[in-house]
Amino acid sequence: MTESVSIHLVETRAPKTLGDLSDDDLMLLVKADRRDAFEALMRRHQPLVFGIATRFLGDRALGRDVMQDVFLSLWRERGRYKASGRFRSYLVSMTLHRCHMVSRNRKSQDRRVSALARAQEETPHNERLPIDVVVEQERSRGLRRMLLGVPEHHRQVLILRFAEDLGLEEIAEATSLPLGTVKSHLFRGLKTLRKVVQKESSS
Amino acid sequence: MKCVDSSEVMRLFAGKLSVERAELVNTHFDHCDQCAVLRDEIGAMTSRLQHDPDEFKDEAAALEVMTLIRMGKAEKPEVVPSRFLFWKSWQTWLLVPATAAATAVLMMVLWSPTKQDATDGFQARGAETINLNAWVSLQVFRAGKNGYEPVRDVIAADDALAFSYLNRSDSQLRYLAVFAVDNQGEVFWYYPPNVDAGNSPGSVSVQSGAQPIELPEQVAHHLRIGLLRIFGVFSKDPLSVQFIEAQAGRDFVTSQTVERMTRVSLPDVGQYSLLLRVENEMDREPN
Repeated sequence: MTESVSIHLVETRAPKTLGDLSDDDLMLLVKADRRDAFEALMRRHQPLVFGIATRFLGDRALGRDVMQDVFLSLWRERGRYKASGRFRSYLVSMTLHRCHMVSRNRKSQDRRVSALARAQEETPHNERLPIDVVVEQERSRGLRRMLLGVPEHHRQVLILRFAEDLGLEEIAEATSLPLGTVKSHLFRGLKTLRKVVQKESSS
Repeated sequence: MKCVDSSEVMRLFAGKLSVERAELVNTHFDHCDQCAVLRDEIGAMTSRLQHDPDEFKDEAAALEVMTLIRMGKAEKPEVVPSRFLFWKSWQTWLLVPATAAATAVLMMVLWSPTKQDATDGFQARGAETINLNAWVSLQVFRAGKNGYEPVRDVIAADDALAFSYLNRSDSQLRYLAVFAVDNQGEVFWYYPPNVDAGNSPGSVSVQSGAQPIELPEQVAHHLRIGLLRIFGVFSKDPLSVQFIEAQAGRDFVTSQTVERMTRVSLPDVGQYSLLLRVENEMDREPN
């Protein structure tokens, strides 16, 4: 099997730690049921998935749920991954997919309360944190609230470009959108976000 | 060069300007304070999206995931065996004499002269097999710029789909599951939402009547380019997502393509299916 050959090559190189391996090499080990490799992979990409989900959904608790769900699915579906050097795009795509599903589910469960109101009522994540962290969280919450004013398909591109610093081609790959559409979404998302920011500032 | 407007600055940020134009605009910023302020304002807005590298580090959440994996809670659920497989495995031989006997009795009844005489002018009622599929239908819509448009055969990969169903007045079917299967055998759920990997929700409750009834939510999946078949399965009792998926998986393996997989082998259900082509070209956003 191709996978077992690749795993052999990885192991004979004798890297210092699993953290030195590429994403694809780690996934090959994961496909061989290596939990330590999966843990290394998760530690590497957990902030990326958590960040995208939290910003997209405007809710840290939901973002955390999505993050856990994505990694559990990744483990469960480990046999389906084909190593092609695009693990990050694959992961981002999975994350966005879950976010859209959760967003839809949340709308159906709580149609009467708008997302903006929910974000405003969000309680502090942990009141025992130092004041500078609290200030940072307030700032982030304000921004998340504003992001919720941007349509989902524009929002996801904004988050990937400016929060996670993904390149336009990588965003196109992760979202399965043509490059030109990514640029359009980015442009329109920026326009909408600016309007929302200006409206917030004036009020 | 004339001053730029905010739209052009955002085009610059979005990578939409040509290299030559981007150079011109950037040079203009060096000489025009007003435009530079505009650039800085939009730059500040986007920089607010960036975060502290540790803001989304969550060791505890990662640990919970690893614990579930070590406990074996994250493995694929076992496929629910079909009740027909049960028969197939060790009781098939029972069916052979039973079928032969039933056929013999049927032949005797059909070809008996006295029976023929007795049925003159008589029409049996209630004995025909009811085609449950005739009682139901599903209409698919895509969210367009001017509202919802009925889907005929093509959708875009990121289209949000909405549904309405018709479950005729006398139908005894009270539950509906809507899902799609693509040409790699992957199942995408629309109703019920299948969000939590640990749960297997049941099909949703539906009404019957003479008029189509809209389902309340529009749903978007990131679909693969290629063929996709949407199924609406109406049943008397709620069917679980896992049960339907397991059967759909078996049917897909048998059919090998969604073109041939016109229905899912489920007993006592009414079904509607629609074959679609998923394309990227339908995204008509200007570049």
